[in-house]
Amino acid sequence: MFFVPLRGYSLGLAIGACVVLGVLLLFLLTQVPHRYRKPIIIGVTFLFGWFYFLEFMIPGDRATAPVRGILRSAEHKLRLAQTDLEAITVIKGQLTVQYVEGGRTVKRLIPKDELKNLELDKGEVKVVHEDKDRPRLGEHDGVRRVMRAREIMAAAVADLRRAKSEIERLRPQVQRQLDQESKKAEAEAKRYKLTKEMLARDEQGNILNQRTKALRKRIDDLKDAAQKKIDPTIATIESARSELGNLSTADVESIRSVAAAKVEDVSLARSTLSDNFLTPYKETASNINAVIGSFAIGLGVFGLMSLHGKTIRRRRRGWINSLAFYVALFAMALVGFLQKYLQQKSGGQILSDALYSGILFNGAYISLQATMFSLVAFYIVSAAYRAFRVKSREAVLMMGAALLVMLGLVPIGQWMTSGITHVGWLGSFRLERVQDWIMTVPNMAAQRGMAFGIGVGGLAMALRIWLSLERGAYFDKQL
Amino acid sequence: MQHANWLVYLLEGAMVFLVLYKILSARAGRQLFIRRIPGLSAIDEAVGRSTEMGRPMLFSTGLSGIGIVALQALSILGHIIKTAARYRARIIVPTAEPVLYTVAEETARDAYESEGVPEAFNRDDVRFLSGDQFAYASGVVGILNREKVASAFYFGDFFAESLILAENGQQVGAIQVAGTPQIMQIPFFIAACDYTIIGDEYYAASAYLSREPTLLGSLVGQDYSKAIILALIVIGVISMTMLALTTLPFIERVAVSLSEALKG
Repeated sequence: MFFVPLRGYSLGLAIGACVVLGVLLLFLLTQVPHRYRKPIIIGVTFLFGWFYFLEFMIPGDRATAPVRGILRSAEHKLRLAQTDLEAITVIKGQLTVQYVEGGRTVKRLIPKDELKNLELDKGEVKVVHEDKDRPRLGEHDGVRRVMRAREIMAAAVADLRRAKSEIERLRPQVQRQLDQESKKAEAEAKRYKLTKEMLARDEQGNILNQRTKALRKRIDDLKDAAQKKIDPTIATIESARSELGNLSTADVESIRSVAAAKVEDVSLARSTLSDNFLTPYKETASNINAVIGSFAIGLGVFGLMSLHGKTIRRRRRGWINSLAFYVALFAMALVGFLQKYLQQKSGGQILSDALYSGILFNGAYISLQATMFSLVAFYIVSAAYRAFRVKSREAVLMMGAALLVMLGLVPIGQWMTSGITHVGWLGSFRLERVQDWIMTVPNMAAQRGMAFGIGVGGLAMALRIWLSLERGAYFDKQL
Repeated sequence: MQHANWLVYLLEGAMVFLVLYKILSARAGRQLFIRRIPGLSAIDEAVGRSTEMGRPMLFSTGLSGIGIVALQALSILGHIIKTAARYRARIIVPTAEPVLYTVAEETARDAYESEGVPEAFNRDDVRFLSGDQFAYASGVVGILNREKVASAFYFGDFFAESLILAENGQQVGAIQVAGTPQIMQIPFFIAACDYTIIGDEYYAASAYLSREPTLLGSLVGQDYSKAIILALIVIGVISMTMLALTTLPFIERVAVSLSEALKG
């Protein structure tokens, strides 16, 4: 089926017809007997749920299964190499620095991490000599790990080359399928009397049927996987391997992060080839959702207009605010429509920008948003003042943690412990590090624990709704 | 596009099986225990307070669009309205999403009808305010202050506006009960509200309030699923710790395979 892109009066007529059809459909839905509404909603929910569930669960197309299998193997190998490299300790190179203190020149050997803090303390610091980072190969069997990482990387590169040749074998097959589907699409275009101009106007390929779109996407995905993911990964891993060949000078730390990045690239390449036969229709399903939602917007606005209209008619307390609602609604709508119209007139762009962006949007809307948001700062203070009372041991613990976190985030807190050295275990007692530890370790653990519980609860509820097992206010009948 | 891998099939299958099994066993008559949740027990108290003071209640669904969070909020709303309908207490329900507005209106109407007082349902009390976060917040703040609500309930997805709503509720002297799956907003609700539902207690609310066997069974199934996840976490922690301490190839393969499967 084709959706023909229209212009001018045809487009206006089409929009008008759609609006009328939409209103008619809405009217028909409101006439549906009450006892049938919930079954309809639950039935539609069930069908949509099946679609999304199956789209997630069904594995990718069989044609691309060999490529995905090879890429999975390459990804696994790169992860193993990354694990080996992560186990190697890197001895950070030191810096020989020179600075002026108390009128005399001081020369010192410091770790690289300390340079910024020293510059903050002492002012201008000159780096005289820099030692390179080097891997501590004797620890955790470092040499063996490096050698093994090199071998595994070579195997991963071989897998990636195999994946690429498999892609090159697959592309002509998919191209042939696409050519066949395109011929069918051309025959349909002739049947619907679509001109070349109409087809040329169709930038997003909306005229093409879903099958043709899916095949085009597969060809693009295969090409991107080969050229934008696999080729650069092969080049980078080969270069990392050769650098690892010289153990004394290899920059193990940067090779680690390169390996991690390439694992993600290969994983991404694999996931783009994982589309199954339902994936092309996800966009259609989202569009259906959007259309249903757009009906509801009309209902919502109508409800608001009805409520405020009654307030104005009956001159209830605060009716001026209801009048302001009408003024704001129509002003924004009118200016929004005018903006598109004025842009086509000479000088219209400036006027439309001034009206819409300058006065209404940035001047009124954004300013009001910022005002409301800024209230949060004051409310935080008043809520904290009221709620943070030390009444129990847990409250003491909470207050202590809150104090440490707050101090660690502000300059005065960092100044309070500035006398403690950055280096070694003593540096862990600096307020900014204590704050960082509290936020990233116990706080994050608690958040993740809650997130697991919420996730499982959401899964159970979604399952109940999908299978029509939910009981409660809205779901009081089993179907 | 991410699709399921073998671990997802296994985990999903196990969790779905557990939830359905426990639902069936609850329906077969097995008695299941649920611990007391103070925030949900306070709902009746809040409704009673509102009735005594002759002031309305407010139920905010936050910025939830139609989804499982909002549907859970509507379950709670239905229960509150049924309780309120018995005492002819008024409840105002502002929503921030048009689709949810229509569903909330149906829920409210049904709840009043089920209590035999359909005439008590006022259509204007279920309102769509605005889809914009702070426009919604200012609308709710206006309702809180103008109507001088006696009880306020916040159930749904809340973000930066959570503290604005809760503090204004505090200022008008309302008793406030809040629950949200948004972890970052829980501290604000704890500071400003009288009762807060934390984490997965939000999804236990409908089971707690209705004591319906299906919902209780689902809740127990959820707990078993959490036990599976806990076991996975323990296995992961042990394998990564041993990986850091040893160079055994077997440990490496287990750790890497597990992390690969979990990442998809």
